Amino acid sequence: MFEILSKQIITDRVKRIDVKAPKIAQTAKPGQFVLVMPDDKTMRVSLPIAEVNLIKESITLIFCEDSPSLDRLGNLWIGDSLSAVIGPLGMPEAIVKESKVACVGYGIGIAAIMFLCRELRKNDNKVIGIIGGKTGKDIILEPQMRLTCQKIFLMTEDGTAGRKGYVTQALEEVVQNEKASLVYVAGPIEIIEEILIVARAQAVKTKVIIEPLTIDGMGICGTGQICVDGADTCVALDGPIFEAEKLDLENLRQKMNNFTK
Amino acid sequence: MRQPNIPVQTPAKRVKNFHEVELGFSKRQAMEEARRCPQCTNPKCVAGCPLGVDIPGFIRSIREGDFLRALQKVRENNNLAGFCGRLCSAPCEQACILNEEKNVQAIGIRALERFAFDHGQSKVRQIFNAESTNQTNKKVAVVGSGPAGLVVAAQLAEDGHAVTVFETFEKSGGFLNYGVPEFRLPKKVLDNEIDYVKSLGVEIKNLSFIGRTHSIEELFSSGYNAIVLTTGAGIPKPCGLSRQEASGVYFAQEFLMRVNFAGGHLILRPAEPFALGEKVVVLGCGELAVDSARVAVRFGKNVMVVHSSTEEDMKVSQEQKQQAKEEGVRFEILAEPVELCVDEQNHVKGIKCLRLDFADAGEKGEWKLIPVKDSEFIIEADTVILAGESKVNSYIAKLTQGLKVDSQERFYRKKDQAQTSAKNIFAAGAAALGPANFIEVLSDSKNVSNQIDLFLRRDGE
Ligand SMILES: Cc1cc2nc3c(=O)[nH]c(=O)nc-3n(C[C@H](O)[C@H](O)[C@H](O)COP(=O)(O)OP(=O)(O)OC[C@H]3O[C@@H](n4cnc5c(N)ncnc54)[C@H](O)[C@@H]3O)c2cc1C
Ligand code: SF4
Repeated sequence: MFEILSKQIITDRVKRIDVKAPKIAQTAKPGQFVLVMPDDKTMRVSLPIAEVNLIKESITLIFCEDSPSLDRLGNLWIGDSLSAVIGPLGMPEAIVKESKVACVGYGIGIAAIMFLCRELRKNDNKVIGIIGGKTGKDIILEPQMRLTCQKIFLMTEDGTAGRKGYVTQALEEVVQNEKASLVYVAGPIEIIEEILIVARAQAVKTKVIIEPLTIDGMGICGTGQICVDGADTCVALDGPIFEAEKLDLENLRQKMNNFTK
Repeated sequence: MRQPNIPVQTPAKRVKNFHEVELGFSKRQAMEEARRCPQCTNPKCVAGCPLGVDIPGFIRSIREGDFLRALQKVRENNNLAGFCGRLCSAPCEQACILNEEKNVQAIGIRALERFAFDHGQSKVRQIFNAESTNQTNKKVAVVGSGPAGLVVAAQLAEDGHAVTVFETFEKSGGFLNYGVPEFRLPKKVLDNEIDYVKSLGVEIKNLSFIGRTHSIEELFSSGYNAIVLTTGAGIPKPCGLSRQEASGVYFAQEFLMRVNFAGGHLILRPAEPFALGEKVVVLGCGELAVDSARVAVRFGKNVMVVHSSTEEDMKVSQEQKQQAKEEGVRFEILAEPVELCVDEQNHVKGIKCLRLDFADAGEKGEWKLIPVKDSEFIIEADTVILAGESKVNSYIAKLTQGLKVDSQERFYRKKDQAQTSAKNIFAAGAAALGPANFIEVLSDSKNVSNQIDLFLRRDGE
């Protein structure tokens, strides 16, 4: 079970693996995530489901090796098996129909919006992808995003790929010119905050995909308790997608900064 | 109640390892203790044990040197003898008739039960007897593999039903797996008990989070006649102090989960599962708090447990408290935390507390603990572990039509009944009782199993 079917080294520290997980591939919905254990000595770690492949019965995981667990995961090879994959976890996102939706993914955050973009497209939405990073090396899944979205904006801060500039600039253009009525954003908390400033100024409904901070997926560890709409909420159970206006950004920033995987 | 002369590792030695602190009776000690038992004809201890274990009976078998028989005797009424022999609060000992005599200690029943398990277990060959199960053609799904789930599963399997336990974690045991530290319940004992439950014909499906990976409806449509929710009461409640999200503040559940996961060998590793400061303060007064403190001490930290109750009102056993003190854990009692103090980087640096004292504010003879005027003081800390209240894992109710929870988010059950508000769904253990101790959970689970057995035999569609 949970055999690695293919592996791609995207950059030194960013890896992509396709893992055989038939039941998860069949039932996963956009917004959901999995907890993986590379081996039985390494702590569970949460990862978004970037893609599912029903023919190969596999799920795609893309991750940056920035913790001991993910380091270990990055060292596994094709043919190796993961000790455990628990999922799909998290609240499935209710997909809108026939709207214009902008999906912003920054760096590794692109992995968290890919599956969502596909489902939005399937439901007759016009999907505009805005992907970005510091440099061209940070951009993942570009070909897949180009195929999935009707329009794509690629922004890098140093101009090494796509246009030189920020994802916020692209979002401003998209909201004004394309009249997108819904925005999804995934990425580091600083980028989320900047995107929310633009979205608020343009009065467009925005949803944030938060990194599911959890080591158990059931809310027992308490790691993912955040404040949503004034109430204590568990990211792993009720999230990871939340409406931006309901989030307490100060509280979220603290949580994100603290979490050590 | 301090158990009689059970050998323990010395404090100096045990703070450097995660091995079991209490070493258990030697054979000679167990025989001597067993011989002290007066073998009452109308034993008060049996009435005191919520599971009704035949205490004189199993003690007699120990006296006779038949430890396997002793274990079998215990298991007639208690399927989790290995756990009870270590963690039970042993109300039986409080009921023991020897308490009525001056200068005589009650029989160390719990320690003898542990002895029966440790010494009888090695003689049991666990062979799954497929013929004994599924005689009734009824299928039961148990959600959660904590003590409640294991008892329900074991008992219903013994009653002849086909039982499957669904558990989210890759390992079974609930709190006993991810909460209780290795030095109080070795993983070997946990594994042995789980193997025993499996040997009764119970199937355990790990990596299954009911509500997410499988829905309740899915379980019913795959032919289960009854579903038993034993999801426990493990969700930490927010502590109510501002700045709870500051760095350096963790819930005890996360702390113990990470340490338990890494296992005893972790202590030999230079890197801890996460940053732990030199001054660790644990807020809470139950097993969760004291276990967290005792783990932190084993990392060589300076540890203090802060709580607002008196020492007598702490919800931990006398031995736990005593052993923690011997290991260097300090207790700051009658101190009510009011605020977490943080530095410029938003890292916790202390806890502001108020001193509590008994006062008769209304002069009506009602003495209550209230804050002393101008008594504010600060306890320095660079790590704070929150070990306060917890609540039931009742998320399934949000996803299942007709399944109700009560005002405390416990699965709703009608008085004295095992059934929830939803058809063919039952609840047992901490999921129905709220946070409870082990023996309460086991006794509830036993009652629930009896009711489910009757239900399945009667009509369980
Ligand atoms: C640190 C600590 C020390 C303790 N020490 C003592 C002690 O010394 N003596 C004592 O008497 N009591 C003690 N207790 C209390 C005791 O552990 C509990 O009473 C007991 O574990 C409750 O059992 P349970 O089976 O109801 O729940 P749990 O043990 O919490 O088990 C619930 C299980 O259900 C699983 N689960 C939850 N939701 C789902 C789902 N939707 N799908 C699938 N699986 C699910 C969880 O993963 C878990 O494994 C202690 C508790 C803690 C936390
Ligand atoms: S289960 Fe607890 S109360 Fe019953 S005999 Fe054992 S130690 Fe005593």
